[in-house]
Amino acid sequence: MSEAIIHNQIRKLRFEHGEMTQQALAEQVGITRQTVIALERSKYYPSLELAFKIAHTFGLGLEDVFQYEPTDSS
Amino acid sequence: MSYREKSSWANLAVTLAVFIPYFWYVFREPVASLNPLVHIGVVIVISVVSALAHIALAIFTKDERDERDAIIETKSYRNAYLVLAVGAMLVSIGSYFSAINPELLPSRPLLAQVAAAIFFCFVLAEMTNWTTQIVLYRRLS
Repeated sequence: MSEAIIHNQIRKLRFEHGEMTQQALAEQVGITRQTVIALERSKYYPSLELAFKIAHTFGLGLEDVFQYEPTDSS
Repeated sequence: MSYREKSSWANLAVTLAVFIPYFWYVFREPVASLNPLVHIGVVIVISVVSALAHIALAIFTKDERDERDAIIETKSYRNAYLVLAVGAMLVSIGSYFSAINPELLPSRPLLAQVAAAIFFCFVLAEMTNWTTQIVLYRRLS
């Protein structure tokens, strides 16, 4: 079974959007600051709804924020 | 560290601190431990200590819960259920075989020992719950 890695640009996008803090992003999308930290470190992958909320907060499409990279070829 | 992670640490610490001496006493002194004051005392101690720990946590840390907390909680309860189910099954099987062959167990109050064993399974399940949460919070942060 292949394992995928999902990269994201959340940290970079936060800084590009008025140096938004992790807490500010957390409050906008309804999660905790610890979850934002986990997302930025790619330690936690968001649900589809949360991914859309984050992308919507930055005014971008889903794939502009999250990138899928399969590690094994199927 | 989030409130929930700190709560898991607090719950695990309180459980270990209270129940290690409790079960050590119950299994070493099965007759003396039948005193209801022992069990009432344990309930009071764990309730008070746990409440104080969580009050202290709530003063300094905001309690928030999101989807990551929900996932961690689901996985930890699943693991706890498995431990409880296996433990209860082992106690049931042991009780059955000791009932049909009393020589399997030394002469002790059988019902009290079964009750203590089932309670031990419950406490072990709770410890599994808190430990799983701690591990997952560290892994997913």
